[in-house]
Amino acid sequence: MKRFILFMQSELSLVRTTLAAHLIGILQPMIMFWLMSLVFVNPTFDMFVDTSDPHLSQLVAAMAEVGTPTGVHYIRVLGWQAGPEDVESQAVFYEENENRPAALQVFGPIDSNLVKNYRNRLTAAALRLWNENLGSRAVNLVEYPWLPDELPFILFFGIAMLPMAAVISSSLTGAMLMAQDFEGRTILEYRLSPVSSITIIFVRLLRLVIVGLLSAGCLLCMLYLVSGVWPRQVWRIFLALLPITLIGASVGLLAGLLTRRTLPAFVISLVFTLGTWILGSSFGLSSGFGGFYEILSRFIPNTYAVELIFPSYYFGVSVSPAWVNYLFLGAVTLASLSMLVRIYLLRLKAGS
Amino acid sequence: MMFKRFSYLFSTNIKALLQDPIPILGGLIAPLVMLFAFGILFSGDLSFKAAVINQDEGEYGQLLKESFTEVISPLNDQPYYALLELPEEEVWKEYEKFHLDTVWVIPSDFSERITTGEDPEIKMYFNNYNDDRAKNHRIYPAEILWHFYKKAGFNAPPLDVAEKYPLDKMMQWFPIMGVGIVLTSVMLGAMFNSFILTFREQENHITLEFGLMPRSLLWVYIPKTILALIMGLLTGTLLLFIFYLWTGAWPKGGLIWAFWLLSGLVSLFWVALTTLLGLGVKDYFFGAILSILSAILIFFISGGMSLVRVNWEDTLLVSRFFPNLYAVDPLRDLVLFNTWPVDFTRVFFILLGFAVFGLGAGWAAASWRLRRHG
Repeated sequence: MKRFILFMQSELSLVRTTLAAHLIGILQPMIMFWLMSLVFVNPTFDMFVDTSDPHLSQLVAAMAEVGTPTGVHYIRVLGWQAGPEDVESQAVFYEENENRPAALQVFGPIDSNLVKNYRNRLTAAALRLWNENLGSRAVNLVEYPWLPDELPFILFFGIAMLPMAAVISSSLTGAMLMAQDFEGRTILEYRLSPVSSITIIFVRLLRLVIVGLLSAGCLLCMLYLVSGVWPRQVWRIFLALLPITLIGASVGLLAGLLTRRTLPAFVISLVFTLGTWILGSSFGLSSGFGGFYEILSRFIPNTYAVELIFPSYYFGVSVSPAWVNYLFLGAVTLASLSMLVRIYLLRLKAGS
Repeated sequence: MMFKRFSYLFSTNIKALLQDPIPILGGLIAPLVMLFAFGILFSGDLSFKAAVINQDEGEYGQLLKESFTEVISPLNDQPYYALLELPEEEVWKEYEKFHLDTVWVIPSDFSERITTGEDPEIKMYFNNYNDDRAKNHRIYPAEILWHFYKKAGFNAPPLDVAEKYPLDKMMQWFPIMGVGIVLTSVMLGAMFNSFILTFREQENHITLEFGLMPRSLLWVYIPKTILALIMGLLTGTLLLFIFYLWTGAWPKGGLIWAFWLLSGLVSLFWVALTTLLGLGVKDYFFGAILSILSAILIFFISGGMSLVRVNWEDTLLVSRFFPNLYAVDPLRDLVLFNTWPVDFTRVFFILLGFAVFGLGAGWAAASWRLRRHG
């Protein structure tokens, strides 16, 4: 036990020799999340309308009513002073099409996502006018939302980054440390060391878990600063992140063991981090994307971690049974740790 | 003589790079992962999974249900809703398990109320776990109901809606991102190779010799910069080719040179910075991570995922200090639409300014460091 503690102290004190790399792993997710929170659009879109045309005055009034029941507007009308030929993104004009009055939305060269958003908003406003015209024949849509409050998209984006933050720190640092053991020939000392190899790898994993959870913890604080939402039962979040961190650490150490060189090990870890983040419910619950993405995401540990963290932020609502998520994460953790220990012992025996 | 000296230094740098060719892939791997991952995420089926419980005793309920799959979204040209045919009990089970995004319940008197004018109602249950999806759940139904009113023969709307789009084909979202990723690849390829070359020189103390060199240090920087630029353009072009295989988008008609020109100028701005990084860092790993993660961050905040010109007011102030923000939309014009960017001349001079400033400031700082510390 004493040897273990001494070893652990040594491992933690070595952090100062690679402080810069640790700081990058901790700070990068925080900075990225903060910047993304400034970039992501909110539900209110600016829409240009030829407000000088009196035929569109009722439409403009209807546009102001398109939004949530709590008063968040989806459209902010801006007056368009020029003609259709000068449109950059979009603008709405009045025209008569075969003697029928119409709101013509002229688009600039914008992508399909923007077209969809502008089109839906115009239709929603025009539908209000139609419903008024239809009177008691108009169809009323009564809303029954799942959750009592609608939380901003950036919150989910940040939640999906929590596993990424844990993995990026543990995996990249693990890859670097293990590869440097080979490059610096420290691996020979471990081979000759009286300390059990399992202890050595365990201590290293422990250090990487601390680093990974620290990175996620810092991001969690940034998430609170940006969104104002503090999760319930924070311990559940760290419980969900623990297997993810172990998986990341194992992958990083394995990358270092297999390549025995810093750069290839780093590249493998980075690919793993990026791939699991984007494919693991990074922009929304995987069930919301469907198709091949949903199938693929079911093989990614981050998906399960995100679903475990979800209730802590979303009023205790679960996406899937917790035991299923823990089972998958546990199985993957066990598999990656087993592979790590086996390959480490083989490499140690080989001494190179 | 000068050309001989230059070619010697250039070939020395090539040999240094080829000693360990792995860094050559530095500009390719991370962007390749991003390209595939975003491609799978955003070019697949983005329809909301829906179920309609039609209890209506008349015909209008069925007409409304049919409208769900008949209204096509411009996003990937798919219906807004993918309708699942399930028994009612299964519907609620799937909804509880988050396998359905929305459930519409059409009551038994729906058609009757439409006919008699008694405020027909539909209950819409939907998943609002984030405000963006909730917004879509509120505005997609407008398209469905619009289509339903027309299909069911209701009185014409007081104000119809029409659209005019400037191109024959809708510009999809994933290709927009893809060009951003390709630019990142060019930039990262140049950055990474520049960093590796310089770091190795520092590690092997060759920088000491540079510091004592009687000749101008431009002899050190120029061959390295040109090689890094070539590597960046090579990796970026390779990724562009992969992108072409996926989407068919390519700068045809000789526009590839304009693509190389603009993306190359962007890279030159960053190359000088990474040269400085290679001189300054003692830990290779730190420099490598910093280069790659910075490039990824810049992709996200400098118009990598959406159009810049139409969203200029919403761009971050900090990203306006990066050349990527100015280059990405003209590159999209070249690659996706095979058109000459209307603002090409302006963008060219902006990027030239960035490149000159970046190289000038970077080389000046590097020279100061080399002469003082070696």
